[in-house]
Amino acid sequence: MISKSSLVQLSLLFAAAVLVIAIAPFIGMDIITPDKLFKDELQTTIFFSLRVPRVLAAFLAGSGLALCGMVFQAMFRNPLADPFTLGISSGASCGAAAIILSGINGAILGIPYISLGAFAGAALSMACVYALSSLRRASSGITMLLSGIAMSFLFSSILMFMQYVSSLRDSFHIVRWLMGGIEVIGYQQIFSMVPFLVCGIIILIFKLPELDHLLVGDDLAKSRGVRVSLTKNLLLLAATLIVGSIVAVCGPIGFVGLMTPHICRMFFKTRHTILGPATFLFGGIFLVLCDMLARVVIAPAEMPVGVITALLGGPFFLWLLFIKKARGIGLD
Amino acid sequence: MPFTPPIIQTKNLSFSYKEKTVLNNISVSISSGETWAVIGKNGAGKSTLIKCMAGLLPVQKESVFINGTDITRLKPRELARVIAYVPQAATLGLAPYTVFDFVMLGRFPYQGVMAIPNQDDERIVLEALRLADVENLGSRHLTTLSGGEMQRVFLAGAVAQQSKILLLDEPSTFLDPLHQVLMRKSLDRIHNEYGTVILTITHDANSAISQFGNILALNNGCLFFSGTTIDFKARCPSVLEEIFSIPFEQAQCVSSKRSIVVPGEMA
Repeated sequence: MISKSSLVQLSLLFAAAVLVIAIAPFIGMDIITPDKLFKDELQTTIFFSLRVPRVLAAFLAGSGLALCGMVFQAMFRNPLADPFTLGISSGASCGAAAIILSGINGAILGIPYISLGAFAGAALSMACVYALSSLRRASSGITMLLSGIAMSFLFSSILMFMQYVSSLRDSFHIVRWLMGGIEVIGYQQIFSMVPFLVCGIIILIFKLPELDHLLVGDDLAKSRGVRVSLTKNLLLLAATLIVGSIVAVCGPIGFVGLMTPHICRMFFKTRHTILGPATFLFGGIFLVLCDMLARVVIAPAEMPVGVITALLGGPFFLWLLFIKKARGIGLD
Repeated sequence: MPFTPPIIQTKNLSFSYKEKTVLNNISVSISSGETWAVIGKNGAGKSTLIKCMAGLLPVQKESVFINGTDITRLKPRELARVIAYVPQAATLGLAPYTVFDFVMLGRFPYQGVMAIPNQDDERIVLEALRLADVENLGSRHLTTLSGGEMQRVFLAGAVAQQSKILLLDEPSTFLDPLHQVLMRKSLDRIHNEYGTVILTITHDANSAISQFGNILALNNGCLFFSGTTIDFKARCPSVLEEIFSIPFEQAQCVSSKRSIVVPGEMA
C-alpha cells in the first residue's frame, strides 16, 4: 500500500511538470502569445523548432541528473555524492576539450563530435573508477568514492594542461562548455539522448526498492535477499548511460544532481518507490525553470544555465534548511 | 522416525579475510526449536561465524548447510525467507524512514519486483511490531528513536521476514538494563510463539547461562565449546576462565538465590 498523501503529492508534482512544460516554450527573448501561434510563421518556427525541443531537453536533463544524484546518495550512503562524484563530469569535460582542441568539426547522425567526445570521456572515467575499485575485491562505497575523486582530479589536471596549451579562442570555447548550457536546436540531439535515457531509467525504476535497502546497509540488504553487487553494478551502468548522454548534450550542469534529491527528501520522507518519481519530476521542473530564466535575464543575450542553477538553487536550499527548518535530509 | 537434518549445520567451516584466518574448522549443528548464545573474546570470530551462517560472506562449498541444503546453492531471496539477521546497530546507516516503512523492508524476499506491499505484508508487519514490543512507534521516524527502541525496531524488521532462524549480533550490548530486559522478553515471545531458532552473540556470561538452552564458545577462531547450557554450567566457572583468560567466581544473589558468575581480578 502506498499512502494516499504521497500519491496526492506526486499527482500535484506531475500536474506542475505538465504545466511548466506547457508554459515554458512561450517565454524567452520574446514572449510568444498563444494567439500568434500558427499565425505568425516566424514565431511558430521559433516555438516548435527552438523552444519546444529546448524545454524538453531541459526537462530530461534535469530529471536525469536529479535521479542519478538520488541513486548515488543512497548507494554510497553519502549526502555529498552527486552524478559527477565518480569523475563523470571531468571525464566528459576532458573528452569535449580534446575534440575542441583537435579542431575537428562535424557530426555523426546529427550528434556533434563534441558530444561524442564528452560521452566517451564520461564512460571512460566511470569504467576506470569501476575497474580500480574492483581491483580491491572489497568494493566498499568509500573506495569507489575516493577513486572517483582521484580520477576527477586527474582529469581536471589534464583539462587544465589542455587549456594552458590551447589558443585563447579554444580556451574560451572550453570554459564556455564547462559552464553547461542547453543550446539544443531541433530534435536531433534529443533523439540522440533518448535511447540512453530510456534504458538507464528503466533499469533504475526496477531497482528503486533495492535502494531502500542499500541506504540502510549492505549486510542488512544482503540478509533481506538483495543481490547487492549485481544491483550496484546495474545502478552504475544506468547512471553512466543517463549522465553520459546528458553531459554530452548539455555539458556538466551542476547543482541539480546534488541538491534536488535533498529537497525532495525533505518533502517525501519515504521510500524510493515514491521518492524516485518525485525527484524525477522535481529535477525536470527545476531545470526547465532555470533554463527559462537563463533565456530571459539578460535578453537578448543568454546566460549559461549552469550559472543559474546554483544561483537560484543555493539560496532556495539554504532557505529550506535554515528558515523553514525542514527536517529529515535523513542522510546526515 | 525419518531423519530430519539440523536446521543449521557447519562442516569444517573455515574463513579468512585476506591472509588472516578468522574461523578454523568449525563444525556445529543446530536443531529446530533451540536457542543459542555465542560467546568469546573480542576478535574470536563470533560475528564472522554468524555472517557465514547468514550467507553474508562467501563461504566454501559444502561448509554451511541450511535444512540440509548447501547455503551456496540457495538464491538470496530463498535464503532470506529462512534466515534473518540483525546486525550490530552501530554498523547501520540511518535512513529517513518511518518505523513501519523500515520494518516493511523485511518483506522484501516475498515481494514482487517493485516491492509494493499488499494487505498480508501489512498484517505481518503489524504482528512483527507487536512481537518486538514497538507497536506504538509505527509512525515515528527512525532518526527520533532511542538506542533501545532502535534495536527492537531492527528486531521487528527481522521478524517480518518470517524466517525460522534469527541471528543477532550483540543485540543488547549498548542497552540499559530496562531495554535489555525488554529485548529479552521480545526474543522469548518470538521463540515461544513461533518456535524460531535464535542464535545471539552476547558478552554477558550470565545472560548466556541463564537465558539460552545452548552455548557455543569460540576461542581464537576455533570451536571451544558447543553443547547444552547444563553441560556448560557443570564446567563453570573454569570454562569461562579458559574462554576469557581471566578468573571468574560463582556467587549467589541474596534474595533470589540465583547463581551468577562474576569476573575477578587478573592475577
